[in-house]
Amino acid sequence: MSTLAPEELDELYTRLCYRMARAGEPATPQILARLVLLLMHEVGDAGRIGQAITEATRDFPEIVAVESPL
Amino acid sequence: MEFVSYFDYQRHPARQPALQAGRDPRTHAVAIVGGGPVGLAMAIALARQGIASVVLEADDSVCTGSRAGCLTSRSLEILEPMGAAAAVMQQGLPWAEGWSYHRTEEVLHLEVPQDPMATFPRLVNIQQCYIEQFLVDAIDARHAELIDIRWQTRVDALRSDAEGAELDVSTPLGDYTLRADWVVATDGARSTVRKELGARFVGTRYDGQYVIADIKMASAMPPGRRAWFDPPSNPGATLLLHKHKDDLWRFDYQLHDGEDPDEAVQPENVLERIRSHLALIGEPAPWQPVWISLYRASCLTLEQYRHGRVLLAGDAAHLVPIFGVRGLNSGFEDVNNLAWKLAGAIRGWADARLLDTYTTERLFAMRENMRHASKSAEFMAPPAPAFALMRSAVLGLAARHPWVRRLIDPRQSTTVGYPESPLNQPAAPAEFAAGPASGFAFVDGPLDDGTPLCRRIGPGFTALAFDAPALAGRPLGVPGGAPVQLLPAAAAGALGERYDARPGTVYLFRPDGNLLARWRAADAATIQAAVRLCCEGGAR
Repeated sequence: MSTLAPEELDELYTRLCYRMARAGEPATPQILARLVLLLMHEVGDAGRIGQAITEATRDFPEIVAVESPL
Repeated sequence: MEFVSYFDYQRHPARQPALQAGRDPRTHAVAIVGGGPVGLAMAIALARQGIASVVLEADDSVCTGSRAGCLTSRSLEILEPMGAAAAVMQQGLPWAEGWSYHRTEEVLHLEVPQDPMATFPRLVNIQQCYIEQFLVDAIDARHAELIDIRWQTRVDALRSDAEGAELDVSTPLGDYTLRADWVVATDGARSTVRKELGARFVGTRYDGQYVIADIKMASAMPPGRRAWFDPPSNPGATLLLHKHKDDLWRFDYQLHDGEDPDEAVQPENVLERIRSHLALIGEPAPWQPVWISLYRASCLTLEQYRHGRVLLAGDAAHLVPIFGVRGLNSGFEDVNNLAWKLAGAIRGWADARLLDTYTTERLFAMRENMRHASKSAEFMAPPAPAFALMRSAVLGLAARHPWVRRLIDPRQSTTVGYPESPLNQPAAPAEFAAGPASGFAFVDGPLDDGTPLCRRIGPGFTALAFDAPALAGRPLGVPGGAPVQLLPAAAAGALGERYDARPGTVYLFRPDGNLLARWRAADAATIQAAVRLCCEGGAR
């Protein structure tokens, strides 16, 4: 369960958008990827991170064939 | 620039047996197809079991050029009883450190943990041509009567049946047909035998292509693994650099997307990239090229390594990306796993089910190897933009966030045990706080007289008995079956501590040095029963 206050979420969301916008579009995915890794480390709970990966990807069906050897 | 050679190659003449109607009149116990490192080691491992073999090698010498480049301590333990480890250690260069750079910034300092009690260091750099030469030397010195190497003898066709196989071979002196009761195919990634069997690889072939270039350069840089991601000398791609003995250095770099491989492998282009990289790292020593080649990373395996009387080993059976040195090292583990089982089948003390565990056990190990090697390959050469994005995030964070470096770690090979092998016998592992569990390789350490355990494992089963005097002089083997040696040790000694031994503790190792069973107390009958069950291929 999140302990973020609604105003805190508001504030962080806006700050991230402005900061990424000012870094320019090519930097946006780079920043998001770094943020994800940092937050994975902070959350430190494989189950919750796994659920978040499922939730984040659910609206995007697999449309590209990427072979895995396993 | 002038190319120089690794060493003076010995050229071996072609030989032909006295033929009868175009056939070698002898039926060979074992024909080994391919005299590379795995085939030569296979011949020696069989000779140590008293089994003769004929090795069919297409070339007239050991291999040229850059191939396998690093052996693990487990491979050295396997080569030791073959009489080749000492020479490898003399020509090899142990290393235990690594440095990874993002552009020019260091993002990972790797230390390879060493086992202070082990006879051999964890990783030793050595070029494959030397390994092959030392195996040929060991055959000449110790096993010439049981091993018949036929150089310049290419296998063109194979027909297998219930009792063995016929092989059509060609030599500069003419062609002939040869019959063998068993065939071991160690003829590499492009195996003729695999094609003749119609056996198919499953897995992935990666897109990226790599150049390997060996150079001679008297540099004072210490040995170790040096990896660059996106260096100014090879922008957008990776570069690996490894030191070998005799001032040999190996470059291994990825080609850029869209780079034409034929063009990229031209000496002037390769030498230019090397020059630019040496300038980048400030290396002033003069150098000369030795060898250049091109390869592609693959993660492929057969799903069966035994096809009736034909067994496949090494690259003929499976391919892994080079990262983490699981290629030739897994080939030597194949040899170690297969030789005693095949010897048992030939001598009649092993059930065919034991031979089938060669596939079960080695396929399990290969899947583990592929799991690790593919993670390394995906990091070194991202197979899709998503992998590249996440890698760039990891590299960008690594300098200031040590926890993320785990993802850069090249995952150097460790021995894979067989925890799910049908041969494993219950050993109440909860009772042991240390020592190998069933299916895992022995852990090296000194016996009471100081001899390392690795020199005393095999060629039969080994009962390592800690303060168990009642076993002395008792027959442990099965009459007419596999031999079992008794190796006494003190529970209070250094080895006893590694094995959590108490007086009476017995560890029973298979001929390949993997644990079959362990007990807090075992009499001769218990050991005999365990050996018998193993030779039957495990519980039904």
